[in-house]
Amino acid sequence: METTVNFDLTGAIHRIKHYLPVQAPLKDFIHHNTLHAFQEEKFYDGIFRASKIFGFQVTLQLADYRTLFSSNRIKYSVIERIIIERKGKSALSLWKEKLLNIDYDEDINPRIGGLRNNWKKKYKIDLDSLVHPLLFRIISSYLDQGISIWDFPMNKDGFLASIKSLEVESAFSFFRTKNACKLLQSPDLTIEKLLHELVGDERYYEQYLFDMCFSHPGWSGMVALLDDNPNAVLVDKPISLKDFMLVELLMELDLLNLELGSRWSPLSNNINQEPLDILSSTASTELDEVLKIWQDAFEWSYYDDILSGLKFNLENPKNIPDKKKFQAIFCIDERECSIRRHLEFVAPDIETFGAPGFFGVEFYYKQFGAKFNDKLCPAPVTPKYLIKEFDVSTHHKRDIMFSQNNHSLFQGYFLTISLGFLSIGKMFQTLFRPKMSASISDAFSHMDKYGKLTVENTDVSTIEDGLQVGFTISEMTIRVENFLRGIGLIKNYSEIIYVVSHGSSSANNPHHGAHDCGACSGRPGCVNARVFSIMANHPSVREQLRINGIDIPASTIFIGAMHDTASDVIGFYDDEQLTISQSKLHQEINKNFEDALDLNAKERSRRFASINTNQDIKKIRKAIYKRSVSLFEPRPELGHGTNSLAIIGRRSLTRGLYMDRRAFLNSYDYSTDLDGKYLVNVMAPIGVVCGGINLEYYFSRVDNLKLGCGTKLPHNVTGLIGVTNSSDGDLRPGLPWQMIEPHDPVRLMVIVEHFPEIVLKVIQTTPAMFEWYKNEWIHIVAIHPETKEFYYFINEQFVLQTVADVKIKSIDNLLRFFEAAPEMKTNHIVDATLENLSIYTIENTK
Amino acid sequence: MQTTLILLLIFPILGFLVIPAFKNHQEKVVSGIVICICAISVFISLSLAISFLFASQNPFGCAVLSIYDSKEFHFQIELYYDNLTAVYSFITSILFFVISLFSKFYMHRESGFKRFFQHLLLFFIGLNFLILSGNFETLFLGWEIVGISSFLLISFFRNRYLPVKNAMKVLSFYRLGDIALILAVWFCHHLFHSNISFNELAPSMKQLVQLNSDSFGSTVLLVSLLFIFAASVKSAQFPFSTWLPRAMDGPTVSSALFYGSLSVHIGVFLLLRTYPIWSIALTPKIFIISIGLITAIVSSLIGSVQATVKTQIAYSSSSQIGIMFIEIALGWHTLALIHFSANALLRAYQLLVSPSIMTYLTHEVFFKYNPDKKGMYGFLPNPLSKWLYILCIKEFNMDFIWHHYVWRSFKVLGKSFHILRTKIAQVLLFILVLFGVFFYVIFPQPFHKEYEFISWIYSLLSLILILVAWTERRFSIRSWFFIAYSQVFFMLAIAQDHVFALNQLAIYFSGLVGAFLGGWWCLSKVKEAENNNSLNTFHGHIYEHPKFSFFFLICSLTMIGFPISPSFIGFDILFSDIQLNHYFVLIISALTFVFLELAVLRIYARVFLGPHVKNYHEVAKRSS
Repeated sequence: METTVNFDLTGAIHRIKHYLPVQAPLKDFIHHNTLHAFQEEKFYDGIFRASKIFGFQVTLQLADYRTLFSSNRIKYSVIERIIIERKGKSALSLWKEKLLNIDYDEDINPRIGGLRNNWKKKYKIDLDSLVHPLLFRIISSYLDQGISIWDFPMNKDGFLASIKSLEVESAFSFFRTKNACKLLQSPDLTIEKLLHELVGDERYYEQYLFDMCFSHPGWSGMVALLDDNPNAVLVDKPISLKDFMLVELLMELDLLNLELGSRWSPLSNNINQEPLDILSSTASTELDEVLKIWQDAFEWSYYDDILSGLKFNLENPKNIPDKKKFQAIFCIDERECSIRRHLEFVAPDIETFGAPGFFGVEFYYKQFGAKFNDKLCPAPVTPKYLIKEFDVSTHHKRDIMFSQNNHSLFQGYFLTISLGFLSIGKMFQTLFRPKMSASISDAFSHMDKYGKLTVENTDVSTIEDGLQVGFTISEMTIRVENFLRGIGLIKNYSEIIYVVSHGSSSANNPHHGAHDCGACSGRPGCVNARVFSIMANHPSVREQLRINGIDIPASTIFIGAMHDTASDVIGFYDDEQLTISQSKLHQEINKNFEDALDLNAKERSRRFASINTNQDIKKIRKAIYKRSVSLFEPRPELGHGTNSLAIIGRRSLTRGLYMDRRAFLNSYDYSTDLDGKYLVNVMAPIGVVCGGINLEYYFSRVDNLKLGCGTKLPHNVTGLIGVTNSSDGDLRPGLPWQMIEPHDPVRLMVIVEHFPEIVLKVIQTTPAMFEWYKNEWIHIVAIHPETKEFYYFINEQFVLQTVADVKIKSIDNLLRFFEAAPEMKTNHIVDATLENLSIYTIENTK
Repeated sequence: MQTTLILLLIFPILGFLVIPAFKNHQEKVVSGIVICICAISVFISLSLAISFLFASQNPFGCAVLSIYDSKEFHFQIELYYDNLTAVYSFITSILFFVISLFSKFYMHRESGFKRFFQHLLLFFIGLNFLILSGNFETLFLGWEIVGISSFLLISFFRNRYLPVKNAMKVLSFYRLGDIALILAVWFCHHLFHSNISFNELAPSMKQLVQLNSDSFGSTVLLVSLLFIFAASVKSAQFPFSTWLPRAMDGPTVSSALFYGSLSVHIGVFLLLRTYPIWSIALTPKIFIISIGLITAIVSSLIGSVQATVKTQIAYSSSSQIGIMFIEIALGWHTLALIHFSANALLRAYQLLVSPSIMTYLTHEVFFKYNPDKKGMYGFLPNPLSKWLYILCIKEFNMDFIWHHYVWRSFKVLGKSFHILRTKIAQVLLFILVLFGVFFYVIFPQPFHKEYEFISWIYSLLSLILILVAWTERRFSIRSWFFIAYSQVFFMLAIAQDHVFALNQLAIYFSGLVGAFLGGWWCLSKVKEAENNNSLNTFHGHIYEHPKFSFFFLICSLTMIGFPISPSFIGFDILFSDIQLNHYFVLIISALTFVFLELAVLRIYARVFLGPHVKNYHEVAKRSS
């Protein structure tokens, strides 16, 4: 074969970027499908290919499924049904045997690394351990956002330029050989040139670059992300993956020369393996098929319960009075599922709604005194608006224990001696009296309760940072109208309508962003709740809305609020504008909220070993609060762990059901939107936000070491952009073990209450949206609102699904039900997720 | 008061023995035992300190246990209490109490929960032996326990590559310190002509100064330098500082307790304890001040460019310890003790809350960012600041120099003797063993000077054999055999050098043979099951063979003379038997001792630890 192929660097970089992890710096935690690169394929094809190329675990192990089966978590009837559906009745016993008894070789021999390994095989040289420590040190110092005291001497032209200018007149160098130093400054330094020296034959170049970048996917991924989104970091750090690869190649060359002198030649001279297109298709095995059936059986063992529970609820509708004490709109988040349930339980004459927690208003937010803006809307949206906070009297708090000066020599000497003895006091306080402090991420500190916001724009030429400050009346109207129509709240308004966002306070937790609102780019949603309320209360907006057919009575007021999902505390905004009678009602409702939060705390304590669920409910509440400010608590809350459902429809579909904080609940009334015009907006974020969360948990659960970031305990915060495990380790994207521990790796089941043909039309609006369902990365079921029949989406069409006949259990006493929960025995999947419950009906007795 | 002192040792030892009886998920019991022990220790050390302060303030000591007794050599566990002990003991126990309480929650449901607390206690035992020691033998015992428990704690996450690699790296540094210490102790033994207790240290030195014999000055200088060397290694001083950030691979709590605060201050303790010896001359003081000064500056410079929070804290700590060295050399001991306490507490706290830095500093940047700020050393003139920046990122090349020049030369040396693996060489070696035994039996008296070369040859061979074992890449069992061989030659070398009683030999041999056979059995079993346990890479066989792994660890520790094993006592005695004028044998034996531990634990690490070679379950990437 002649080397006629011309190596295409741009294409190679493009492909590498596509497969690298894309987790942004941890200050913005945006959940996404970890294997997004494979999403254009069918779920199973994609994940098994990913496994064979990159060596990931993509399902549970065979042994785990078998234990789940023997502990009855995977139902025999479901296995049988699936085998018969796919393999025919005659193959039933054969496949049963395969599933249950036959041993398979589960060893994964990934393609990645196969070429670059040859350095070790042929020359006994471990390039990784020679190159990585220094490379990581350089890149982390370069990208650092504020940990180091002495900043990397930057050159505006990027990473390579910075290194060049740093070395140009220096007596010392990052490189060990003269040759490399000379090469660095030579004008014809290119990746191709370096590859020519290292690899030789052009046909191997791309594979080599893949091997190299994926030997440290964390850093490569971060660089690739910043290459495409330089704004993902606060302090400007221009960088390109190309520069980064070039520096790494140069370091490899340098160290090969140092270690081996002239005793080496390019890699392609020494190997007899054929060049391999690392991304080419992979052969599927019988094991894949077995795992596929197991995973489906695992999922359907759960879905069966859910569908029959919903069916039962549809057939036994509950009566809700027309006149409501109050209405409350919560985030779609599955953690709000329980607070809504408890609220309806303590005050049956109310109505709750669910919607993505940015409440349809997208903007950047500039906190008072801040130098940067926060994006407060789902990640794919790029807002054109800026909301500014002003008139704030409190100041940004500081903590002397975190003063960077104690690392310096002289100041450090005095600070060490003085702060040293203070720290023993701090340690005792931390252990025995944990309380909120400046170093704890406090959801309520995101916006000052008594500060003001620039919501209204009267002059469209007010531009700041390239963004329009505030919204005009018509822009507000559009957003409020779309939002209210989306959740079907267009009549029967109560006197006070609460718009409840959520955030999460936690201590000592670099991943705190992952607990905040996913619809607000991983931040607390209080600003959005408040902004939406201000808009909806605006007299001019109300007037416009009335013209458009939405008549909100003048006596109705929207109040923004935020629920802290970790500490179970609620805070209200702008409640001083309530009239006296409203204020009285608000006081009363506040009691309902408090009672619901007590119950919520009790429910959550069911999963926390450190809290005794049987003690007095107020004590539990206090313990839950303490947990959120305790430095020693690696699990302040369980985040999205256990999420598995997304239900889009009226509350009557789910009201009175216990679904264990596992369902994203989006309110939507098909009867107000028969042609599905607003359903398009409602469905748009379901895949990206809910599907993203679900799949990130799925993959971090099945391979916590490669796709997650392992246990939190050794994490070392690096450059304020991520965590590493060691001083010489790679960045670790993904979720920590403590977050995914109680999660069942099942795909999201989306359930929409609308005519199947409308749902089909809606999910087909954009190819990106359709891909989620078409390729089975999430499931979808449509409930026919008239016939009450269930249609499952398979092979690009909705097919009538017979709902398995499962007996739905009921809970007659919630409190006792929570108290009965046993403690998790081990964190193996069988024990860890045993308490993930499916569906129960609640008998309305206290 | 003496008896209360012993309690500080007895409780942790009891706890250490009791904990294995419980299961990993019995978290409350396991952590409860440790927390109670720590609380009791706080109480004891506090009451001891108070009574010491308000009563006589006279240091006191006591002998606890005589382990070996002969005419020339007494090995006994002895304790000692003075203001130095008081401060260290109080700070140690209070930090242990805080951290164990913190860990109870922090380590919740970790698969190594029990193991963590077990290692915590082992460390506590070692540290207490060290701090409370009343003679050098006891101090060395504690020092060794601390070293091994460090290895175990750093490699706590043993299914990943970096913790295991870094544990080996830290161990190799510690080994340099160990060897300096054991040589120093040995010289002391010959200096004072007896085992010396710490309460006799100052008066004996005074006597010796008055006598002022010929070799006195040079011996004292040598001893002092060895102590300084050992202290510098253990306290991460220049040029050894790079191990400290790499020790931060365990759970944050153990990093906070050991590498942030306690372990790293052992060097300071050693200098304070041996002050009566090295303070009589000026040179050691100048040495200490220079090391301290260089470290203070270099570490704070390196620390200032660190972009990861734990390494930043590590270098700050090392830099402050540099200042402590200066304080000690200048005789400001109270200040040094205050400085130690403050630094230990502050760094422990900073590490505990290090994950919070993400929230806190991001806020700082958010509100205080100033794009024109150049950072700390931005004021330096341009070429100089660039040079310095590059040097700091490269940690002043310290790691590179150790790896590239020191360890590599030994590797090259070891590899050049791989010819010894041939069959003919094996036969020759066996003949040499027989010859040695024969010689020993025929001439039970010490040799005449002209036969001295025989013991040289045997000791040299023992070093070569251990280097061969250490550089073996293919067969772990072969490496294990060479380790045993080396031990036999080591013993023969000393046997030729000096008369020693049969019971000494028996003590040493009993441990060694048992360890060897046990280790061999484990390795063969694993080889049988896995068909591959080469030393080329880390295999992580602990995943499937946890029992063999545990048993092999025990054998390994016995083999290297870990303080719980008979080999340790034998080793100590053998070492003290080398005569003063046999410098050559001494240095070679010391080197053998260094590589023995490295070679043995290398086998353990490569066969049993690291990412599992089988990929049917979750396995961490090598770079993580």
